[in-house]
Amino acid sequence: MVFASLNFLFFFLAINLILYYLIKNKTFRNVLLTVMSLVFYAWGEPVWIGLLVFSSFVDYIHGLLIEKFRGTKWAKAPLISCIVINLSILATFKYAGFITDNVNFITGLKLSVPTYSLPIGISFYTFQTISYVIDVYKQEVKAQRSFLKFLLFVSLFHQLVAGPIVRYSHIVNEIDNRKLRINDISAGISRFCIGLFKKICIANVAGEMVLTYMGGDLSTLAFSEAWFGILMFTIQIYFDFSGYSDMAIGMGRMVGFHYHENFNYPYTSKSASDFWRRWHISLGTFFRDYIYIPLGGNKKRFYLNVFVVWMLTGLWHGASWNFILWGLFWGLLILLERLFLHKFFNRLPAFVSHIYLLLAAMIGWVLFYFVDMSSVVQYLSILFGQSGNKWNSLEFNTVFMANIYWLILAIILCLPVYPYAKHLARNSSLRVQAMIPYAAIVFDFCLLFLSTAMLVGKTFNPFLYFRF
Amino acid sequence: MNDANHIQEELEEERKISSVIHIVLFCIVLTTFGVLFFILPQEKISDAEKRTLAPFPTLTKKTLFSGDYMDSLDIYTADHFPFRSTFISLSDKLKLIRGLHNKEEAFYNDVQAVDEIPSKKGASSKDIQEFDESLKNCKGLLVANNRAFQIFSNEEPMNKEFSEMNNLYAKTFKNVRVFSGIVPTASDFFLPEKYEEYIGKELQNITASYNLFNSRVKPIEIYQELIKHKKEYIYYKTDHHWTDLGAYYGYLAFCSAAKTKAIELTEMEFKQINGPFLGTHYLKTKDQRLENNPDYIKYWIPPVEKYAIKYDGDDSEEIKVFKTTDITKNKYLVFLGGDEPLIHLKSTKCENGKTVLLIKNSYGNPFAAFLTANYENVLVVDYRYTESSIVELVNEYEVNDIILLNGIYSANTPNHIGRLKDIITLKDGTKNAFKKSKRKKKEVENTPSDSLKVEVDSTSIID
Repeated sequence: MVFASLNFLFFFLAINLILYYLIKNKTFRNVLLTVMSLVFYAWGEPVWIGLLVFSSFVDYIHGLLIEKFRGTKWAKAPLISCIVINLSILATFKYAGFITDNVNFITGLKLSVPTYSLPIGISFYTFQTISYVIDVYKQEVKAQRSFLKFLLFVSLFHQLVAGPIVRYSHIVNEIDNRKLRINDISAGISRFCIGLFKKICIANVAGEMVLTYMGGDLSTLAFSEAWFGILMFTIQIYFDFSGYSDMAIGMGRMVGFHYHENFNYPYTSKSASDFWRRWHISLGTFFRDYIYIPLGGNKKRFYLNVFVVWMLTGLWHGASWNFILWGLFWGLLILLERLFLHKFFNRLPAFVSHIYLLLAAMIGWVLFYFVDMSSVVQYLSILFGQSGNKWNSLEFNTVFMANIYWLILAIILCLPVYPYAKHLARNSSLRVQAMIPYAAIVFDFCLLFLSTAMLVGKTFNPFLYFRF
Repeated sequence: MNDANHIQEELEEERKISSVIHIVLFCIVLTTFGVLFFILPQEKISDAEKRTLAPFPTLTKKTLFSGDYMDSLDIYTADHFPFRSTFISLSDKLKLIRGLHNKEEAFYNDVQAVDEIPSKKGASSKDIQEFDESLKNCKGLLVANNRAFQIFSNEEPMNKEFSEMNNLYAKTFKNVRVFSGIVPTASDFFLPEKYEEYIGKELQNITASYNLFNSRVKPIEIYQELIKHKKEYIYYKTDHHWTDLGAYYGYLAFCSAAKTKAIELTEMEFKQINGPFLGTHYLKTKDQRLENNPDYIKYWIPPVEKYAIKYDGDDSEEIKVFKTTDITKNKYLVFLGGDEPLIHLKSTKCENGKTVLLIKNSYGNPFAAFLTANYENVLVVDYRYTESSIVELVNEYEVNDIILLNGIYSANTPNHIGRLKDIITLKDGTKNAFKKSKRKKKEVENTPSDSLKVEVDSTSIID
């Protein structure tokens, strides 16, 4: 199931919330969330639900084993075994096709390429459980004794299929003791509605145009259309991904969980390193804490570490060379910034750095979008006016103008307008302050209705995470 | 200081109240729609969209584990959501306020190409939709001069595949003359000059296909005939079809290819359907300019006494060649009453013993009636609605001529070409297999002796 669907909103979520608020018992609430999460997952992956439960069970047992063998010479064994199993599952289900393709290519063998579908969310939940066993091993958290609670942590539908990557240590207390606060629930609802709007009214709309311009025949694509296309993809991927994170965080708050923020206005960054502190934060910190720093960080083998981390970051996004290149592209920029670019941009006005980052992000998205290299090269050559394609097309002008207000809105929403509005509200007169919560309610329902109208009016509702 | 604290507390209290209202309203709104979904009566057909709404899916082990069941449920909910039409019109309005709109022109790039309206009741609308949505080479829809144009991109021309399919007809039916025509859209004739880069693309594509026909497939030069009459009302402005007049010029082109005498327009009875007609282009765009400039359906009736029988599986029924009742929702249905697997037009006067088989999609509907002036039997097959072979049909009726009539988009779309090929290559030994496509499924479940009877029965109907 996806959040941005009618069945999810008006049946699944409605039932989930009402039952949750009616039940007062902590354990029953956890049971409810777990059962509903499994239903949620089975809705989209009726077969791979078994893998999810199996994987959770393995990690649960390993957590207990780590504690059991602590202090003995076997202490490391369960940790290693668990990581090996998790990565093998990931390799089997996500990378098997990619690996056989490459082995066939290099060796000339003709091994058959597996054709089964990728279980949704596998990259997210595998990373969550890996972080769990490592944290147990490092004694940062205690192993979870209840399988129910552990399964709840892994399968919680809020973040199961599209992140953020929630660490066990962040929510361990809330699994056992979470308080429902009225203001929290209300804030969660607002957050959810905003996320829904971002996904349906911005990302999906941009996605249609991405299909038209990036998904069509590149040989007839005009220069202006190519730039517009990549701008649309830049908008789509941010609003889609951050919209999902908003909805996850919002739904978490509705039932008392507090997940960490996953996005912090990434397109306002001034450098690549800044961008990655603001983009998909839960992934960046995962790689930092569990790979980059253990490898030696910037103290030991710095260049190698950067290379490994960024290659893996790319690979995590999809089993294909273009994602690896995309990761390395960012790694290279971060390296160059450290070496000299940072100093260079510091001497120039700030807007130059902003333009540099936006251009870098857009070029990066070209690598991200096209799986085959020839399309990447072709698209880039159009973007840089080297393709001999025409500069503009008549029908593009009408499309551009017909979406101009929407485009302005999308660009404004990439800026921190929400914190700014909050700041304004805090400094307004008391009378206004008393009105704001009610205005916010009206606003939320407008977002909800607009999104519902878009959902009903259009069946176009693609799911972007099938590769993750 | 105390005052300030007091005020803060009051604000806090106020916030609590508003939060409770927020939460309660949110839960109520979500649940209300959920409950209304079950309470409100459910429509089966959407008049506005001219299609059958998704039926409630049947649960089987296979559909459950493949996830198809859940996908169908999602579609079902979207199709039957409370106040669906209100939400749809709201989303149409939202689309309009996304930007500025030129008074004269608009471009809709997310509109699918169409070659036909799914009009036949009972036909699996999903299949038809698949056919429709698969249409390739369409860049979008342009509204200009109060008329809608499908923009033909010619990005993935299928000339080779299309002509090979035609040549296969010639090879399969050695004793039958094979004619093939591609109907252009209005674009080449009426696009404003500034879109010159698209003008002529359809002609270029049609010619490329015709050039690859072998000598036994006779091309019908529809384009050349239509362009002579481009000042006349040969295309609808709000619909993708040609008008009856356009189809008549197509018929003239056929007659010259078939070297037979065409009936004159003046020899026929002229009629007009009451009330304006807003076609598919309007439905897809809801463009105001189209709404303000609706079409009218005019048609000409050949002075041949005739009757028509439609066959659908084992059922047969006499129908009107021009249907004038029950067509308010889709006036294009006037021509043969819409798309049917097989229609037999039999003229009682023109007793020359000649039989023509027209294999068509909806472009052929107005075209078919003119053929009654030249043939005693006109068989009209809609290739999209049949899954079995037509070879037996050709032999049984001793068909003299076959006409393949396609729109420019279907002639460049793999699964249309594929289906046209399928209906002559499928091995289907039984006589009249075509008509029994539906019954055949039942046979498997019933006893074999039943099917034998059916075979005899259905043959007698047609003879």
